[in-house]
Amino acid sequence: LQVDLSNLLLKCAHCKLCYAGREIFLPICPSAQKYGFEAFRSSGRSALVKSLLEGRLEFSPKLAEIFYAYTGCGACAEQCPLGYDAVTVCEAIRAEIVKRGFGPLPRQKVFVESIIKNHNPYREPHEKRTSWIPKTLNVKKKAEILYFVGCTSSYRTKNIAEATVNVLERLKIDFCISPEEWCCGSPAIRVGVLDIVDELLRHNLKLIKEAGVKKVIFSCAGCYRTFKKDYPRFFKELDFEILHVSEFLSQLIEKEKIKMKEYNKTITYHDPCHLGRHCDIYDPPREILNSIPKVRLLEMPRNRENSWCCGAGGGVKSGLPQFALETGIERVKEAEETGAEILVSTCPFCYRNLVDACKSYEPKITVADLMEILSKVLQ
Amino acid sequence: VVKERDRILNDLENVVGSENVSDDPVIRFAYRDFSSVWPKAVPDYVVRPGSVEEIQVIMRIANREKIPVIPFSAGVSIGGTIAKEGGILLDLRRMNRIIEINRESMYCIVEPGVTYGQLYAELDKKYGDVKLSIPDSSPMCSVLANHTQVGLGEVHSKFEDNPTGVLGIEVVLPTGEVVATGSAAWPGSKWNCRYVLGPDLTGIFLRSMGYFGVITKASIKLYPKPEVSQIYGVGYEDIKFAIKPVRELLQKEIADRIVVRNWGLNLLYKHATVEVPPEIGKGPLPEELLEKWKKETGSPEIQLHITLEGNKEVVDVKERLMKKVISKYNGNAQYLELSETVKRISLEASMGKPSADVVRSILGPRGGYDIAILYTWYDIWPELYNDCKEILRIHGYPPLLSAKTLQHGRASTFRFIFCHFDADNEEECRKIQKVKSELTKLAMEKYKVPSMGLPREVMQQCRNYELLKKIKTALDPNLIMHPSSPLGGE
Repeated sequence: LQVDLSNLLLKCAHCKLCYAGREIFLPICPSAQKYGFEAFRSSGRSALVKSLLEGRLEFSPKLAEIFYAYTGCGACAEQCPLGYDAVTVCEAIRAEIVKRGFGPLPRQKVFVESIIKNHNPYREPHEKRTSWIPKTLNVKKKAEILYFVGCTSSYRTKNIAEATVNVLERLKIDFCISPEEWCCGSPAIRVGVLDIVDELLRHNLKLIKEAGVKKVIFSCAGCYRTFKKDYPRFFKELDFEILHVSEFLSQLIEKEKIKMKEYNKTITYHDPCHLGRHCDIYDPPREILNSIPKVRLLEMPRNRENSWCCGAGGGVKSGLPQFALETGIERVKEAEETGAEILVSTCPFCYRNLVDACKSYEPKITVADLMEILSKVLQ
Repeated sequence: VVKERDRILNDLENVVGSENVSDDPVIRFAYRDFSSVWPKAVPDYVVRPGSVEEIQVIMRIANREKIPVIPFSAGVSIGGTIAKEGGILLDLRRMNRIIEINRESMYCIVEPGVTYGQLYAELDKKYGDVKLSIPDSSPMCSVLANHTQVGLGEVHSKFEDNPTGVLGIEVVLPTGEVVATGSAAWPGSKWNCRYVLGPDLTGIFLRSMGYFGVITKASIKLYPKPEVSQIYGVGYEDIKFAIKPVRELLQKEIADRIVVRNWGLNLLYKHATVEVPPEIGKGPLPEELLEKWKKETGSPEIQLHITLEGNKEVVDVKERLMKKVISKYNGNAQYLELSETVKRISLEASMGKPSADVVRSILGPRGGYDIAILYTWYDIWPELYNDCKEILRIHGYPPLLSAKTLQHGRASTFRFIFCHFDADNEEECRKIQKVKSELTKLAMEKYKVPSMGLPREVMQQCRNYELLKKIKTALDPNLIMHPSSPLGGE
């Protein structure tokens, strides 16, 4: 997982295009907006990396603070005319920060320890991972399709896991869930704790292999991103297909002409960074929403590649909760201004942070996961 | 020394709050890098003021302590914000309010942190029929900095450069007083007239590169948007054939914008969305490679990009008149099929929309970007162009010329672009600096053509230098503002 920075560190030309959305010119960098100094912007961080590599600057707690104050949303990288991969560079620097004992942040250490002990970052017993599964549901342990639930939906946003299973059941999809699923490794990779990752990945790949799975589907954008982008960095050949549930279902809806009830609501869709910018999945969730009769889909000014991050990613929700909350509030307000009744996302981690944002000021909009909407409208 | 530093830091924190000031090396080193060849430097403190009042107090502290002050608006500058002597870097991006858009009187008032992108979005939302003169720069460039300092906006052929579009400013002087110029000098007045209430004091601060004070607000002209904008490419094998048609098209007010490019710049735009030849910027380039590239681009030596604006009827008439002028002077002119990128950039410029394509076209994967700018006139174009090309050839740099024409053909800029170099590589930067100085020296000594970004020893030969020095001393007795500039500290 070591990264050769010399290949990634393209020379930033300080055009500052990384702060604003293409064509819309609205701010897209939560870190720049919150902290302001150049060091908290992609162009400034690239200058710091150069100074580190060239020996002008040393690793320090302040450097760690700056590199952890980044949600890894990739909004900057999306805009860069030189293709500067800020996310990968930042994660590589975080790994170096950890090696030198300046990271991760104290609250992030707690979840790292929990991953080691419980195989999830939420300090919950591993045995309770599938306790959300309704007793009436007979979930298979072997099938060609595995629903990888992820830690967040297993322990915190169980409603999303329940809705996903409900949708799959009603569509008569032959799928399995593994009670032996472990954390996908994303939280550890994002904060630079790489020495625990190998075991997590090997375990998950082993259980996928043993279940004879051909296709793994995810309702969590973070887990999906990790399987899609990070697992191949360890294990070049993965012999199963990786799909986000929105990809899987949009194909199915189109092919099978699935019937849905009317849902007379205005909805706006939040692109999770791990699904959109990181994996280029923008259309499937919109296609599903547009296929529901009577749904009116309204776009926020910052959408798709230009989306404003929910604020939770990159270890920020645990490490810098206030930053995460403020970023989430800004997103909910933007959603509210569209006049939509429901803010829909496709990631339990975005969902959690957006719900937390709503708790802080009671907006006139509710948050839902796409699977929750779908489970309501499937006939 | 540490106590001294802590005391100053404490004073600055009392002004802007601890979250807006830092002397931590990590915060400071982030301001070190920029894309041009100038030596990189790190400030002692970074301060983010949020108001004019805060800047006033900071200036008083800086004066008391005799600390240099360097204003930083958006950080897109190619050499204006170098903290060569350390000091306080004023990051002005918190001050990013569009104070007023006055559609009736066609101006807007902005703070230093407002970018062209931000202002365009606001204008587009509220008034679809007016525009700003946007430069060939990043949409994230500061409107105030570009307009008050060095900008050449898209109205250059119709009017002049961007500082001409500044109607008045508010400045915090190095000693902490606030002054306003133009009609803004009268409390409560509109900021719509420049030449009232005494001599033109706005002009003193324009192009002063931050050494007379911190400009905190500027009133900038707005222009009507045309209904139609059409760009034409006309090629010549020799720049001498371009002079007469360009002059006539400008003097008869047929063309609304003429940009002159040579084949080298065309090469960059051709490669805007694909890989740029890796040899560019690494120099020295073998002549045969240059010739090969020239053939590959299929470009004549010189291209005129002529933009006509108006409503459809007007543009049709202008097109007929333009073609008449081109054929009148012949010169084996050939009409060119311009790339979609060039057409889009021109159309967006006419509509006042800043384009990231401009940045994408010029920047390469090594980030460096710099320009030698000469203010020239038309009769000497052929000799000057060939002499400059020869200097570039000797040093192994491809000639990348973009010449912008000013109103009625009174003058034009010759901008030789250096890009695709490593701005952190001292040797590469020194080499380009040497070539830039040779170009400037040639232009100033042989052709008497003034240039920009001159070193102090050359500025000292100018007949305005003593007056500038007197003004500088009067306004900035402790010489704290931007001391590495030609008029900075002795």
